[in-house]
Parts: sequence; C-alpha cells; structure tokens
Amino acid sequence: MDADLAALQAWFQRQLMAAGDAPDWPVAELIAPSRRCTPAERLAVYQNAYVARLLECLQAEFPAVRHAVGNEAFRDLALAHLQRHPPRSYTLGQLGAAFAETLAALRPPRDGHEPDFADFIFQLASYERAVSEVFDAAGPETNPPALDKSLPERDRLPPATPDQWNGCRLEFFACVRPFSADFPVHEYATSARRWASFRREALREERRWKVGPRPDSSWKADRPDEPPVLPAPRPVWLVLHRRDFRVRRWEVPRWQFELLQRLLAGHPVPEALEASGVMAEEPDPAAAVFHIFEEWSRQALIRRIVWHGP
Amino acid sequence: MVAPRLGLPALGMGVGLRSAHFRHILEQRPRVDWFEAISENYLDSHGRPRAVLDWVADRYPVVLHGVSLSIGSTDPLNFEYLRKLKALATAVRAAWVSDHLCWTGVLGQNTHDLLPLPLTEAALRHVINRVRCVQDFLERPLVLENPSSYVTFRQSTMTEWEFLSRLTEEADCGLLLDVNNVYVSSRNHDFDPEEYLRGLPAARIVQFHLAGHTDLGTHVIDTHDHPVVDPVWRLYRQAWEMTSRVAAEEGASSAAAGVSTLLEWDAHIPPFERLEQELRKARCWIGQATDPPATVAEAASDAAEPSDAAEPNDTAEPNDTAEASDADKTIDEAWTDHPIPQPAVWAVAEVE
Repeated sequence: MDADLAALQAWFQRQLMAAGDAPDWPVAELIAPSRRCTPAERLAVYQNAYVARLLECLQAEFPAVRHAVGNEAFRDLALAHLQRHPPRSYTLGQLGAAFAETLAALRPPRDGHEPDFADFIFQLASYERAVSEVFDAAGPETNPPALDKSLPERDRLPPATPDQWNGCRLEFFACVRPFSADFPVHEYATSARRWASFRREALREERRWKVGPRPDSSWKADRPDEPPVLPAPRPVWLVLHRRDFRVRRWEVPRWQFELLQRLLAGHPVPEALEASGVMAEEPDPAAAVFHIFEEWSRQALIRRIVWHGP
Repeated sequence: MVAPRLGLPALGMGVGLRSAHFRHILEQRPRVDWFEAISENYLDSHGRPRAVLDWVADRYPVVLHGVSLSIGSTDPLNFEYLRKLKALATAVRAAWVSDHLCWTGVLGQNTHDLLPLPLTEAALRHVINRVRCVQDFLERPLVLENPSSYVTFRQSTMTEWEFLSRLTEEADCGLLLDVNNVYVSSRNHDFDPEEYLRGLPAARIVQFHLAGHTDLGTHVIDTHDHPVVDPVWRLYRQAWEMTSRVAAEEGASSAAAGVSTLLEWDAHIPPFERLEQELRKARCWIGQATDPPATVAEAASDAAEPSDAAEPNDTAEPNDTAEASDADKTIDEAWTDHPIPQPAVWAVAEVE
C-alpha cells in the first residue's frame, strides 16, 4: 500500500464526511484550480454529492417518516444518521439499517408513560426498514414450499407419536417477519405512500395541462383528498411477508404474533403453542391453531415442517 | 498483440437495466440487444430485482457493472464482495464484469461515490496490482471505466489517458470507454477530448457508455438524466471509428467489428421507448441506420415531459417502480440544491 496515496484518500474522505468542518489541510495545496473553478469549488462537487446521494436513498426508503416529520427535520435526522453511522457496506441497501436506532438515540426525554411522537417515529422507521428487508429476503416465489402432504389434517392433530409431535418445528421463509407497534404504523405508511403518489400524479397532471388540452381527471378517483394525520396510539401485531414479489402485511391477534415469534426462534410447535396464550384467548384452541397453520400454509409462509423423534 | 475487445463479444446496442422499466421489459420484451445490470443492486437480492435479472439473463446477454469494487482504494480488497460478484456473474452468465477506475472509500467506509485517483506512478502500480488480483479471483478479465471527475490533484504526473493505457496494457484488462465521461472531464479539467480518445489503446476498448449530463457553465456534472448531446455523439463516432479500424486490421468482418454500446439513464428516467429512440440515434451516428437522428432540441424537450415510468399501477402501492423517487424532489421544491453525479441507483421495496 502506498502511504502517500492512503494519506491523500483519508484526507479526501474526511473532507466529504465532515464537510462543515474547516479543512485540516489547505485544499489548494492538494487540488489544482480549473479555468473556471477554484480548488474549493471543485472539492465541493464531491462534498455536495456525498450528502445529496445518501439523503436521496434514505428518503426513498423512509417516505412515511419523512412525511411525518417534514422535510427539514428529516434532513436533520438523516444527516445525524450519516454522522453516527457512516456507510460501510458496498450496497446502499444497508444505509438505512440503523436509521431507527439513530432516531431512538436522538429522541427527546419521555414525558409520561404513554407512547409519544418520538415512539411513533421510531416505530414507523422500524416498520419501513422491515418492509425493505422483507422485499429482499428469500421468499416462496423461486423456492416453493416443500410441504407436500406433511401438514396434518384437522382431525388428526397431533399426527405423529408424542415424541415426534414434541419435536415438531416449522421452518419459515426468510421474508416472514412478525412486527409489533404501539401505533398502526402500517396504515400510516400506506397512507403516506398513497398521498405521495397522489401528489406525483397531480404534479404530472398540472404539467400536462400547462402544455396541452386539459385531460380527463378520472385519475383522481379513489385517491386521498387529505394527507395522512398522526394516528392515536393503538397496539398492533403484524405479520409481514412477501408473495408474488410484493410485500404484504396484515394484523393478527397478539397470540398469533407471539406464536410466530417463538416458532421463528426455533421453538417446537407444542412449546410455542403453550407459551403463546392461545389456550387462554381462544375458545376452541385446537380449531384456532389448525386455522392459523392452514392460513400460513396458504399464504406460503411455511417453507417446511421438520419432524424429529422416532 | 491483443485481440480487439480482448476477444469478448460484440453485443450491439443495450441499455442499463433499471427497476423503473422492469414491468415494460417483462411485458414487452423490447428489441434491445443486451442489458447492463448494476451489480450491487442484485448481490444480496432474493426478491424481485434478482428474479427479473434472472428472467432477463435467460433472454438477453447481460453484463454486470459495479460501483463498489473500489479498485483504487488503499483499503484491502473486499473478498466477500468479490465472492458474491463472482457467483452472480456465473449465475447470470455475464458476458463480462466491469467497474470504475476510482476508489469509493477507505478506513472501512464507503462514500458511495466514484472518487478520483491522483494520476501518479505509485497509484498506477497500486491499481495494476489490485486489478491482477481481482482478475485472478474472478477468473475473468476485468473491464474498467473512465469515471467523470471534478478535481485535479496537484501531485498527478500523467494524463488520464496515459494512466488508462498503461493500466490496461500492464494489468491486461479491458476498458469501458464512457464517452460522456470523457466529455464531462474534458470540460472540468480543460483538456481536448479528441486527444484523450486518440491516446487510448483502441483494442482494449470492450464497451462504450453513453449518457446525458448537466452543464452548469463553470463545470459539468455526470447526472445521467438527459439525452446525449451532440458533442458526445461526435466523440462516440470518433471512438467507434478508432475501434473499427483496429478490428479491421485484425481482419474482423464488419458484423464482428463493433464495440458494444450501452445507454445509461439513471435519474428522471423516461419511458423505455425514449431509450430505444436514443439507441436509434446512436446507430445513426455510426452509420448503422439511415433515419436521421433527432436534434438535440427535440430530445431535450422530450426529456422535459413528465415521465410515465414511475406511474403507480393498479395493484401495487405507490413507490413501486421509482429508482430513487425523483418525482418527490419536484413536489417538495428542491430536496437537494445540487445535481447528483451518478451512481445513485438503488431499488426500493414494492409493497401491497
């Protein structure tokens, strides 16, 4: 490794990542001017691009957070994130991995016990990140479930010897995520995306109208008239999943969320069922369990059933 | 004497594979010759982007074009990255693998920009050693692109074309000649772009890149968000003639003489048909088609039209196809005050 080159690269990188600070070496001693730009102006192209590119990526991944806090605050939070977690991965897809962590670290002191706006923003960012991860994780589209006929029939539960049943585990696709929040963040995120889409279409419509005859306005049908507002706290338990390459999410009762969490952690089915609360919450636990396993199979959440024991 | 294009195939006229066009490509199977995919967008994808790339690779030749190899960095090479790149290139039967003559970060960080190298003997030796190492690992030639750059280091002792010539010869690698980057850098560094082209080893040129840029008067930014301008078309024709001459000297038939050409459009992405129109212009400029190319003024007015590529479809939530939500920037006035040099491509999630 060339020491001069290493020193120059470290210096150049510092100028990008700490553009607001005074340069620790005179720029003009390292960078020559062009006919029309000074050394500092030339360096500023890279300084501006570094921030602009990464902010653009964060806003693409967290449109609902941006909508909730507004552009200026989002920019401040994103810049703080870049300071706390400068990008290290070869992919921009990792840039937002710790964004929720940044928001949690920067949150103002809590005032009372109720979930507050800072909690909402943190949970919304966590939700948007989970959507990104589900989008890219391995799913059922190219690797179909290997269930065959191994899912037990309703009237034959448990379908195996007690030892087999006690060791039975479910293997899920990597794109399956349980998610819980104190607010209906999923509904807010959907509304914010819908609203952004509506605004984009409105802008395009306006541009078309400026250059030609006013077109049909039927595109406005079923579109939101108002931007989404901050929701009141409401505990939600969600399952995120991907099918046909689109991220899907739905609300589930708490016991299903906890059951899924335990099964994903590798607990055997009977043990996970016991701890999930289904026995206490459902009048017909066996029917409820059968129904949910059937639904998870239909939705292609379960990759395969693993039987252990003799 | 090296074989023209290092013996790699002439693929014809292609475009960059961008998620804004996935739907069009899957439904219409457009008549382009080949696609170039940004490697990093697919290395870790197990979802739709990778499935689309596999679908495309079954039907078109594919080239992998990276932005994070960081061949000029003084950090160690990232072999986890290279292992994934090699596996992807094998899986999609990539015709070749390319990246940029640049560095993207040091001290374990990645700025996600194509940062310039000082053009010195020491830097040249450093890059040659790393290119050899990467080629040994990938078991295929590496093709390196001349990046757009915006600063000149005082310690540089040679021109960029001399650096590239010596690099490609001594490391025995290929050159991806981005003609727009030559033009952009010539404006930013006050050199003659035609002299740049004449100084390159034509037989090492495996591929051309064409793209638009943003001219700010005092300097030019490589934004990939406009049509190709006439001065770039003229440079393209000059480069095409250089490479054709080399191929002819080697006795190649006219059909095999061409160098693969790729159009990039990464921001304010227009409908796919607009890209095809730009490829027709490319064919006209090198004499492979007879219909006259559109004027720059016409092309510019086309680009100013609203893009349909990011229209939400009926079954998906918004944000489903935009590469980087360009439309948002116009809604919220200026999200950024500065044009963003490429690369800035990244696929966002599609949700229902």
